[in-house]
Amino acid sequence: MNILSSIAWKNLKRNKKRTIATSIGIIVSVALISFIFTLIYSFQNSMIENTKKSVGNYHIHIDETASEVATKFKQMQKIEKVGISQTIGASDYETQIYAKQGIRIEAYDETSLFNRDISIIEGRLPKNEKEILISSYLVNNMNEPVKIGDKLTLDVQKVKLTIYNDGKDSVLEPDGVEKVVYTITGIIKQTRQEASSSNAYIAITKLEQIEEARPCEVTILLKNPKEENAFYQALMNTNLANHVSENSELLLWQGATNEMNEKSQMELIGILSIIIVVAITIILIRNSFQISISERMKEFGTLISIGANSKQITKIVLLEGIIYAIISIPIGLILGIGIVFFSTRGIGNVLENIYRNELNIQFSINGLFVIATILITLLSTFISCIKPIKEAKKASPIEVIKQNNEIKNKDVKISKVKSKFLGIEGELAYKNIKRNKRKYCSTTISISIIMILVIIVSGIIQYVFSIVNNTYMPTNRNIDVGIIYGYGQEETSTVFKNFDRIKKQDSIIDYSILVSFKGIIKENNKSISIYGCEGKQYKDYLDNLGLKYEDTVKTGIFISNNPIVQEGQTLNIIIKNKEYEIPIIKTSNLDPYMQLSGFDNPKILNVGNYEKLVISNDIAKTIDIDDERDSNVRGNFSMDMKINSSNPNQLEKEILQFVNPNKIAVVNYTKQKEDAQRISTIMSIFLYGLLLVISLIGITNIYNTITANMNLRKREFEILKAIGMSNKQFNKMFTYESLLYGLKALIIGTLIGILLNYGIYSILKAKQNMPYYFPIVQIIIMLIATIMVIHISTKVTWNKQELD
Amino acid sequence: MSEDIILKCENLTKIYGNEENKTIALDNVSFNVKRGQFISIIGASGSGKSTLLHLLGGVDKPTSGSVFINNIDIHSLTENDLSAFRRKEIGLIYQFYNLLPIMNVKENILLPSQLDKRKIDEKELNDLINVLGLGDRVTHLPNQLSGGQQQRVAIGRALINHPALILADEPTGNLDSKSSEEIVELLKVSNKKYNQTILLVTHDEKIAKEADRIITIKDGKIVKDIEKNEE
Ligand SMILES: Nc1ncnc2c1ncn2[C@@H]1O[C@H](COP(=O)(O)OP(=O)(O)OP(=O)(O)O)[C@@H](O)[C@H]1O
Ligand SMILES: [Mg+2]
Repeated sequence: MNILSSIAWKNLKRNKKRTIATSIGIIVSVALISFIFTLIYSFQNSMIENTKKSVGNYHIHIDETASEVATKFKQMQKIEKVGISQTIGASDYETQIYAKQGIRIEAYDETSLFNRDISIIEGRLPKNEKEILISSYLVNNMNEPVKIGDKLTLDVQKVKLTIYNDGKDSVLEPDGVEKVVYTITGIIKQTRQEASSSNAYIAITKLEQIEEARPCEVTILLKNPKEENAFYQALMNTNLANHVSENSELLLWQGATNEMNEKSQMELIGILSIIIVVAITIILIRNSFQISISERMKEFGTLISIGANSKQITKIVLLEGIIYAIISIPIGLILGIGIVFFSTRGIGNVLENIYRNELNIQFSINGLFVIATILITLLSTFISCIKPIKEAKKASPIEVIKQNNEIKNKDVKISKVKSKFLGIEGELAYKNIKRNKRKYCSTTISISIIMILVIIVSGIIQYVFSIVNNTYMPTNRNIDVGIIYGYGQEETSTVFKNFDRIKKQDSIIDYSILVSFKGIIKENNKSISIYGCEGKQYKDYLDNLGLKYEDTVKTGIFISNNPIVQEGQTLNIIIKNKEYEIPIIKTSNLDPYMQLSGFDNPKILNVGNYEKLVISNDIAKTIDIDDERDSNVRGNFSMDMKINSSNPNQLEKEILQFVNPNKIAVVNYTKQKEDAQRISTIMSIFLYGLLLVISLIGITNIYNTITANMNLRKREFEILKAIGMSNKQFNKMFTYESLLYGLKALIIGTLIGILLNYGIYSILKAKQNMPYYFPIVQIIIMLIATIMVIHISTKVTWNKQELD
Repeated sequence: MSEDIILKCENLTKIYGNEENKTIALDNVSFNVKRGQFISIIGASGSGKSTLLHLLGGVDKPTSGSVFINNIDIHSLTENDLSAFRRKEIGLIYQFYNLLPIMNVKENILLPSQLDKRKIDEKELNDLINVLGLGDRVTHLPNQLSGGQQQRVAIGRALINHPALILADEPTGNLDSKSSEEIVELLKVSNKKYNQTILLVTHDEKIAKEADRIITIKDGKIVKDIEKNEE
């Protein structure tokens, strides 16, 4: 071994305490970064797996399309998998639920059977078109119990798809009746399709042969999720536009959503987190090196005095750094990854018992992250060596010769008053801190960093929750009731009556009704969208405008970028050749649509070129609304009621007692809410686990720095003891010291943390509105925990030194 | 007879501090040293002895003036050349031994030659260790040695490269009289044996008198310079 590596090696070997303290510091950092990477990667993969199970393994869904369109996708390069299913038809079938009038038969091809949200509770997948899967929901509601292997004889009213208007529009038409004897081969959990169907159960059979006339559903899984956006946009420019939807949940976790801007938000969170984690790792590792730097200055001074040159000093420091890295990287990696491995295993087992396979937590590791961790550590080590090298080169042999310690600062002056107030212990503490700024620096940084991390991570967790909630479910309602459009649709007045009756049901917490239709402004003959509103969202909207409900019973709010009538004047609207006079109470240029139709975090946009009118339903009911009955052009008329109920399942049944299920759709979001709830559970486990472990690692680091510092000051303590300082006085001195540096560190850390948290929030908010989160509880917990750790570390180390 | 001058200093001045609060530690000091001389430097505390030695050893820079060792102006050398020069030509010994606590006796002694990537002559090393009286202590760490022993290690370290010039600043300051005598004896032996030039700062009259020449410093100036008549 050459002399330089021998010096470096012996330095580490013969200063065990110092070496251990520094190594622990680096190990902690490596563990922290590899833990965060692995946990987030495992979390992401778990979410992807869960989403594939609960929603399906596809990116784009196209419904009610022609089979020739469906098969075309199979040839596309960018596409990994195309799943095709066809609606065979429906059969009447009586069960305990009155509203569910029958069973619809869907035929899934192989890909669909494996990649859509089919999860088998019992039995197996169908192998031919005479075998079916039915849901446990159907089984539970059947009049007579069935089991796997039983036959189900159905008179299937078959359907065919007729396309017109150059493919823009389509209609389902009857295509004869066939009696089919099905064999039940499996019972599955309710699919999303069934949950969102208002009047039919769904049974799934195997698609053996694509029938050209039948309506097709297509699911597309792209090779690269990042290409989804472009692909989707391209589809939206075709005739299929009205039938295309995205699997926004899967895209969200694959980091490729574009809906509602989650993509950019999640990506931003990812990028910001990586920057913060890398920065903190570098600071932490540098900090560990800093612990012992003043001690080492003496050695470097000695070496320089006997003729070591700066190149040699540089080599020694670098060699030490490399040895530290070699020791710490594997231990840190094993620790960080190990924590994730064992905790996901453990929690996975617990969840399996609770949710029986509906929730899946898995451990995933990515070689790239391991390499990234190693590189970041090496980089941090290198950066950490720069300063010691610079200082080592400057190490003054004179200082060494004179046996000066690192105390270079001038004498610390302390005022008489302060001195009296603090007592000798306080004075010592004060001078210690003022003179040995560098020693306390590492402790201050350790304490500040944990505060910063906890505050930022708490914030990020909330922001992730808010993004995910937006994607998974509008959280403020659980039942939607709406008119089913088409030939022979329900009368508007009947729908209003239905709504009025629903309002009176017991379990209603709140509701919002939105009736939207078109009219013509008499003055300029321009078309205008009219919203008839009632309920919570409407009240919120009025609140925002500073209006009261009473004011608007007979008036309207005119939305336009340059309104032809002003507040107080009257707007004349023509609907179905009848003229209505609406007094305008207010004008605005902000589009109320998103807010009125119940988005959780509505984006308030300018109305653009459109003119809109918001009125209360009191007025709307007096209007002979153009419900576009018998029209091919849909989308201008709708009647929807969104309900938040304390007992949605009961309410659904009650509603179905008096509405005509063929004309009014009742959608119960309980299942989706439960899905979202489960997603929320895993997210909580992962993210709060992340926070917990970060806190623990941070606390270990504080303990380590304090211990290391006190061990380095052992000689100083011995001198003080020798001149007669009592144990009580020592304790007092330590208390003062920890107060002086601890409070400073906590304040700095909290302030920086809050600032960064707000910065992250501002960046995210620019993309989409979300509530600001101030993690006051976490801050208080961490403040208390840190103060305790400082106290305990000092005490424990002191007691240990006493024993030696 | 042309005199062999190993060390020459000219108008050495060292001023510490700033304008309003300055200490003139060395004031225009000039003198020559012949090869092989054993010189002791004495003077009251704070008179500038250590400062002078630091400037001669190249560990500190003068405010003005120059130091020539073997006709080389050492303060005009680059940092790197100066380190190498110090390694080869100068041995420094201090009152506080300044051993590397992590290295044992042998390793501490060998340090300068290893930094110089010089091949070690084991026999010579063993001789040196024996002369130093550390034969049974080679693998001890500094904190396992007495003060006198530590100082002998420091001397060994200063001698290992056979420097032409040895600068010793109160090497016996921390030692009892018996150890002190041993140390001085050691220096005298190496002075004779290797014809090394030695500058020794001391407070001890008795030790000072052992030297060939005694320089007395007061307030940063040489006030007396007595050379013993050699036979
Ligand atoms: N770093 C410094 N800054 C300011 N003044 C200094 C510094 N080092 C030394 N001095 C001053 O320079 C003068 C000479 O100091 P020096 O150490 O050379 O004295 P000395 O003769 O070695 O004394 P002693 O016998 O006590 O070791 C003293 O007055 C001292 O106060
Ligand atoms: Mg001195």
